[in-house]
Amino acid sequence: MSAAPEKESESWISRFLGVQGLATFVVFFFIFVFLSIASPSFLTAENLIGLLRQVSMLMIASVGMTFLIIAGGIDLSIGSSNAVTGVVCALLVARLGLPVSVGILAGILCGGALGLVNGLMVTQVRLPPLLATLGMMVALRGGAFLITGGHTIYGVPTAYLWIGRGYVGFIPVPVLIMLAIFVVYLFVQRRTRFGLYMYAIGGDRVASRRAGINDRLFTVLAYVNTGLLVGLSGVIASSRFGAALPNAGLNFEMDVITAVVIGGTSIFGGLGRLGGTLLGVLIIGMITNGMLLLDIHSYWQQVAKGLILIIAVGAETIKQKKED
Amino acid sequence: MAIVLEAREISKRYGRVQALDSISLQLEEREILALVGDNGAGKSTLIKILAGAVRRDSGEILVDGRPAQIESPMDAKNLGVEVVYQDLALINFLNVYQNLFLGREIHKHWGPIPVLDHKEMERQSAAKLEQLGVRVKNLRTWVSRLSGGQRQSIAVAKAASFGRKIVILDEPTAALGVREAQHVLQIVKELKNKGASVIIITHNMEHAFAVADRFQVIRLGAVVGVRKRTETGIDEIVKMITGGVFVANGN
Repeated sequence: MSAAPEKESESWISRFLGVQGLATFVVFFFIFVFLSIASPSFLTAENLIGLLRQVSMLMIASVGMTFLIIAGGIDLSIGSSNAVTGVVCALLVARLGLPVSVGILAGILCGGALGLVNGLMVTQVRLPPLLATLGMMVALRGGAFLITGGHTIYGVPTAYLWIGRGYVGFIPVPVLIMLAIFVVYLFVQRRTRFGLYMYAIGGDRVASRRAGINDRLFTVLAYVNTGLLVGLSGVIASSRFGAALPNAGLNFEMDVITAVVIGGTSIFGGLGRLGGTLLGVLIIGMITNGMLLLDIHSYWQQVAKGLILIIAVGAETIKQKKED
Repeated sequence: MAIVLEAREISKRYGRVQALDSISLQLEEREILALVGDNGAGKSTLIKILAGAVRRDSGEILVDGRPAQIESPMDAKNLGVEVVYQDLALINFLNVYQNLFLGREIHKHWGPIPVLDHKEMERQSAAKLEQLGVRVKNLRTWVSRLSGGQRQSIAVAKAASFGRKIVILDEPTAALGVREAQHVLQIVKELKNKGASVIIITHNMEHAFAVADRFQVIRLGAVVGVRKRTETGIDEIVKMITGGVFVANGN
């Protein structure tokens, strides 16, 4: 490996956004400016707040996925567990009449439990993360349909709708939750052992073990953490719809992984920043929002998102090859 | 001199290969012992067993004269045995002080919440590197951006600053240029001056003779002999390593 010259210090931009931060920011900026010019309704408070509400679930799950991918893992099952947790939560409050807070907590914990299963499959059975969570993705989707009998679950109490539809002042509740999660996890990433070990394990598992890190434990924790956050996003989703759909969260994993990767987190692990993920999420959100505003058919959204994922991963792969 | 680390009749088999055949080793306090031997002689297997990274089939390990249960890297660390592996053990995308303190981070407390104390770790890292004469401009630099010599020096410093007694170095100069190798050897001597006992594995006899107090030669998983530096020379050690072929031809 050739040694690059020592840099004086990390710039604040790379500290917050990661090494690819500037590139992500430029993309974000151009899309933002383009939409502001192309659509008169884009740059309005109403639309921007709506956009933030739209991306809040995506962001909450992406926070977990950022940590997980940095640690060298990945979770394809989050779209399905998003549906399962929403269904579980809605069933508890709508059918069993449990208090809303208990239902919400149960939904979140259910997500954590599913994450635990993923983590144990990867660390104890030693399945490749891609395949273990692919299996879970399919199985859990079936599970969501089995639990509901294929029907949408209606009849949730009004109090349940607050977490997805409510406002504090002019700010939607999901946006507040998203911001709180973001701030808390910025702290976790930078200032806790858990955050540091994600980088260590994803950067070099063997070296981490030699340094005395319990890499399996922290890998499991990364999956559980993702599961808990996905559980929260599932609860918010079902609250927002006022109903739990067994086919909720379709392609959710693709949106989340795309946002994380275009945010500069290395798909090979060891590198990434939450600030970059926030930009990635906003880029995905603006693409969806912009295409709606510009009246472009939603089929094109999928094409655009898929291509963006390929370009982002492709750019990183080429960069890594150059460095080796 | 007190013996700080002792291996007694260690054996290890990989399938049909007898990697170590009842091998013994003694490391005295405040000495540098060079463990030398040809490729495949069993040097790496032996130190991995001492470090808890590989399990022995039979034999005993004693630390400070007491039988030691070394079954994992953490066991070895807790007994004060630190290893710097050939392929380093640094994490490329962590910075210098994060690498130095990885696994033993310093925390401060915000109320009940433990928080990584970056400033303190950076400060102590600077002091430790300074002590050993390791020069790195910026401790917030990713180690992937440093030179091979700097990386090796940091790896040695990491082992030294926590290994209270015993540091094992696996080919610390293998990938380095002449000047960088000299610097790392200087750091190794510095370790000894600071009170550590060191086992160094190397193929480079010049480097071994520059720092070692004693030599232990192993071949085909068994001990060929042990020599003090003052009582031997490069020729004899090479002859022991190769089984005398070179010398026979030479004479």
